[in-house]
Amino acid sequence: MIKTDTQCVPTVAISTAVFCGGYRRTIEPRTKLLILLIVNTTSFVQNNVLCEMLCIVLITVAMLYHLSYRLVLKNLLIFGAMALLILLTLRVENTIIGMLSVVLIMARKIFPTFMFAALLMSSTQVGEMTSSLQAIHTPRQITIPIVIIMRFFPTIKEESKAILDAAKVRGIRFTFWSCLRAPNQMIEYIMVPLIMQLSVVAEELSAAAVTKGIDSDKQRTSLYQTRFGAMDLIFTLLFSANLIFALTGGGVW
Amino acid sequence: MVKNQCAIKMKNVNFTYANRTEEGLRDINLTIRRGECVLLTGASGCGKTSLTRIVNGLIPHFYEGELGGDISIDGQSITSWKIDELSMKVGSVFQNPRSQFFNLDTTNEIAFGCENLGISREQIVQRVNNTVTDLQISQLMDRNIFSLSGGEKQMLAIASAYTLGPDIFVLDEPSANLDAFATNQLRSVMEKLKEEGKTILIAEHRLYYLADIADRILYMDKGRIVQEWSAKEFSKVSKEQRIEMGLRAWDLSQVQIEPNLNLSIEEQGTSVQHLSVAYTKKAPVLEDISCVMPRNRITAIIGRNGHGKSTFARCLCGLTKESSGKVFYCGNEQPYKHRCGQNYFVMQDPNYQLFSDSVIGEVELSLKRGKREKAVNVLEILSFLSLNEFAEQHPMSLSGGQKQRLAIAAGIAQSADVLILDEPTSGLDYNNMLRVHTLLDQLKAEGKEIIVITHDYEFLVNTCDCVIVIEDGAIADCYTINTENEEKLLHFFVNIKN
Repeated sequence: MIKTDTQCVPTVAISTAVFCGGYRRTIEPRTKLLILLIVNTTSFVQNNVLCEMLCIVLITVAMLYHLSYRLVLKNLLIFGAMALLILLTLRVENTIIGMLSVVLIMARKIFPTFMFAALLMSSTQVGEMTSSLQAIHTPRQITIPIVIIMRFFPTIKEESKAILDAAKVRGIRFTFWSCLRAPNQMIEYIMVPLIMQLSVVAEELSAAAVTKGIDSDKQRTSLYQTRFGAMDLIFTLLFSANLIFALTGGGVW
Repeated sequence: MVKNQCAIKMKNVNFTYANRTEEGLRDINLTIRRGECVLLTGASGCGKTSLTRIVNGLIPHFYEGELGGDISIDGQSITSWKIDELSMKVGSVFQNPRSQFFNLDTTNEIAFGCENLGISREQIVQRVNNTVTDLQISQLMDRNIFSLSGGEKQMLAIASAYTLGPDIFVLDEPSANLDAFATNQLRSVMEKLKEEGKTILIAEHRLYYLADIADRILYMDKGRIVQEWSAKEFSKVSKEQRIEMGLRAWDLSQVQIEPNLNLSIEEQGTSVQHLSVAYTKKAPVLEDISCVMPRNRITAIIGRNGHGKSTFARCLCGLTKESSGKVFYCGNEQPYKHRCGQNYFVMQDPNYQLFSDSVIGEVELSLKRGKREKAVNVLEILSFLSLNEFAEQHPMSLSGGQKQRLAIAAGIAQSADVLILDEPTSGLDYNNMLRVHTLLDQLKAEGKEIIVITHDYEFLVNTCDCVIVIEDGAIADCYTINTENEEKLLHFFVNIKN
């Protein structure tokens, strides 16, 4: 049973608390989108390690705030492994390994963006996102595709699992060697059934959408309510400070 | 005239799809009164789905084609209905629970239609609350869509349509993917809708669960309504007549067991000893299972969803590893790694299992990987499954039944000894079910061991020789299908409750 009481909304940004089984700590989806943009810009303008480290630390703090411990562990491990590999490959004088380290450095540079995007996807509910965007009068033509995209990621995961099982039953193994020996065939074995399945889901889903009034020309409303709070401001300021630090090339201090 | 007594009225309606091969509609004349429950039935592709699409406006708003005749919903001509307003009048529930939800959480899904139609937040909250009380679905709230069972998904689909407050409900084969328990759940929700005086139009193959709900039964064939009965008249239709029309049973207790009298002595087949499977350390899904499945019998595995049936099947065919215990085939131990291949799994949705670009290529793909080289002839296998005329076609151009046979053909080509089928008859009409029955009998005669997970009582009684009941991760019962055990088996299907 959902409660209609909105009195108990605490001062921190809280979007779905009353609807989603009690209090859930999160920052406002619009803030998340803004921070994503800031992180992205920071990654591209920064040219010192301290700034990059600060960025990773800030994202880690944001993840901890959202209680996403597994996400923290996973991302820090990947980042650590990447940094270690870069240190190792830079010490070897070999063209191919040199190229590898360039690729790794590029990957490390955009890593913070991916890390924050992972947090955004895992901590935002579809309803919150649309409600937040509708609050600034985003047209239906933008909010609905966002709903669909956010819904399709888990669908792809589910369908892929079923296809991998089916392939195993048919004796098709996706081992490291089979992928190396016949990569195009392996891709075909996954992609063809996946796309077939997804296109069926997509068509049936659109038919269902029509019967749920998706084509209506009325202004869309939302069950969820999202609002800004102190934490939104704090996080935005922290990330912005880091951006300024990056812009000045770390010369402020 | 009293305020419109008919909910749906159609006069000389014809429809032809513009770019689909599906059957359209021919000369449909139909009046459905308010509060009436009308059941549409007939063989696959008879046009019953098309008729439901007219009522919910998907024809002509979504499926294009040539539409003629007069249709009025709630006294207003279909042409003057705006599609978004129509969705507040007619609620729709579809066959596939995988593809009718937009949101990832249930609460928001229930509110989704209202949000689209611009209903104010206070009103949405109230409507969602009312839906939860009316349909008694508080256990469904605030959950992840992917964590719901098939039955719960269909309840949610009904709930999300209900929130918009429609007077008319249109359901297109809602039970096609449901087990016996979930079907009974569906029936209780339908009963509630009927009590509230909603008009219901439902297209179905599975009829028995609607026996106390439907007021009128329409039989369709090739896009026409051929025959019409009241529920009382329909219960008197003889079995022969029903089978001739290709319809499923109306009353399960009338389905008679025809014991297979010429059963030979049981031969040794698959057996399991002390088998346990656990996904997490704490809660094993299957605990200490031991049973024997003879080679020359068709064994059915029944039980509620989530109680370990499919895990058992997955373990037998090498998709899920056991935590302890052993599996034997003909007395020899079958280690986990060898099982995949020797034991072949036919999935409920054969679309996943087809990887090649032609029917013949599909079988050759399996031959290449099977250990017996060239010993089996590809065309022989195809003609055994009556697929030889489609040899060059793309697998995706086949019908559902043909795809299923092709998936089986691949298993034979792989020289699998045991075939495990998951719900081979879900959503099939009587004749297609009979086809599966004949095929399994032939495979049994060829010496393949067959294990079927099923919720289809008619199919089970017709085809299978013995039953294993799995409950709470253990074997609850195990018996031969004969007249003595008939009552026990029927009880399982009709009275299964939470």
